[in-house]
Amino acid sequence: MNKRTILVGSLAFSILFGKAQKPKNKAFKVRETEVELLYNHYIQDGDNSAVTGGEGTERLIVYGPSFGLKKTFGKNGINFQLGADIISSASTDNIDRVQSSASRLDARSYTNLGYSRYFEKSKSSISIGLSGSIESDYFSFGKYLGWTKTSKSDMQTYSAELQVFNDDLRWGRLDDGFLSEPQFLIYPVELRFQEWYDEYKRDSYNLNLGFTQVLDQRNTIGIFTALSLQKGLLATPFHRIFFTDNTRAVEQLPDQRQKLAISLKWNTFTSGGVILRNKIAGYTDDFGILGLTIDNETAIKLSPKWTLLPSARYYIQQGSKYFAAKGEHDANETYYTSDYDLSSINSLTIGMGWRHWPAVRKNRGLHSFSIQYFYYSRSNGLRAHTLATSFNFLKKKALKEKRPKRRNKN
Amino acid sequence: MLFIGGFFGSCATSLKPYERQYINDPEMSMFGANGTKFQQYVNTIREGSLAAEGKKGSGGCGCN
Repeated sequence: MNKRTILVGSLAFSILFGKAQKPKNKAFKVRETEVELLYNHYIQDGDNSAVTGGEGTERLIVYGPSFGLKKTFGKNGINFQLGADIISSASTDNIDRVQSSASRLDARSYTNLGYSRYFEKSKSSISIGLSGSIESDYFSFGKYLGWTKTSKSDMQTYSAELQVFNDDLRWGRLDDGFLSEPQFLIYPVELRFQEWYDEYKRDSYNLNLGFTQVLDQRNTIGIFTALSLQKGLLATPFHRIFFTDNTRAVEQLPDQRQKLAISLKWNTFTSGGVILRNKIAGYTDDFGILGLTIDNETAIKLSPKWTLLPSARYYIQQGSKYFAAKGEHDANETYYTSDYDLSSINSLTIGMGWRHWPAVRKNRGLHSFSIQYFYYSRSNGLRAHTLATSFNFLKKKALKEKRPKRRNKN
Repeated sequence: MLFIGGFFGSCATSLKPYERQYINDPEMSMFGANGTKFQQYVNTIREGSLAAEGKKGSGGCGCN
């Protein structure tokens, strides 16, 4: 019997006495902190400004930095966001037709704070949160309550969220320092001889429902609906209306609006490392607006660290029954708007970006970085460019298990 | 109803942890990352409609 046979035989015999490592029967707990630094830059131009009755420059630039923090500790989680949109708008300057006025540059600051709690037994979570935003002519206070549940098999998820926003459209909060007393609704300069509305508040109630189903190892579908009810002052006080008889007024819209949106999504991970996120969505409301969206976002995994992000979106909208172009409204109408956002339009958005994961397995430091560019083109001539950048930092820390105290045998 | 029942009936009933590597990929999320969320926000301002799966509903700003 040669040495090789003895060695192999000994090894094979020793397997009979081998014991597998005992699995740990205690849950592995991780404390996770995620910080997200975002910067969004938006430029648009067009020639159908509602401030000047449906004709006029819509040139606008938005500088949008924001900071986000998410922290999970055990079954609890908190999230916080603070951001600002610094807005330079040529059309806003036409409210009072004064060049380089205070209205040319505006800022919208916003924040939100949320808490969530996960319940292991039912595989569900509850979340609550508050939000606030303020700009020179708008103040909003929001609250939300959310619920999500995952099925026992982890193949389905159900979600529901109720949002309530209580908004105030009066101008003046940023006029004399920060959080000054609001003063009045701001109308176009030549139309300030009377009060056009008897309301300055706007309340919005939104119910968002969602359901996702994992079909197989590479496919997931989702169905989402959103119902919204808005009450109060829904028009924009500084939007002008030009009638057929050459008289003028400010925009008038009903004091209630009901909206319904539904979207179907299908995400698929193809065999070539390409992920397709497809969506078709519909919208309707009682202003007479109908909308249809077809959307695709693709993620092309060039490597574990680099992902390319092309996207395309087509949208078509039947306009509101209250819309007409400049000079086409009859003065006897009850409701009227020349805001082309509510008109019959179609739009195309194409985008390209990339995402980078510096280290695939890393428990602290820069987790990912992404940059995306979108070009938006609307049928009435509005063009817009968006540049969105995001730096995501992640820190994970395993919580030490508490060792049971040893009993003193003596 | 039969079509919907048959469609969901043909889905896998469960997946083992090692079979979820594609489903759990971050790019397979139903909700977009920052760039997509911001562009969705732009769309709700520049168009008269509402995004069904967006986190942000109506209200909270002087837009639609």
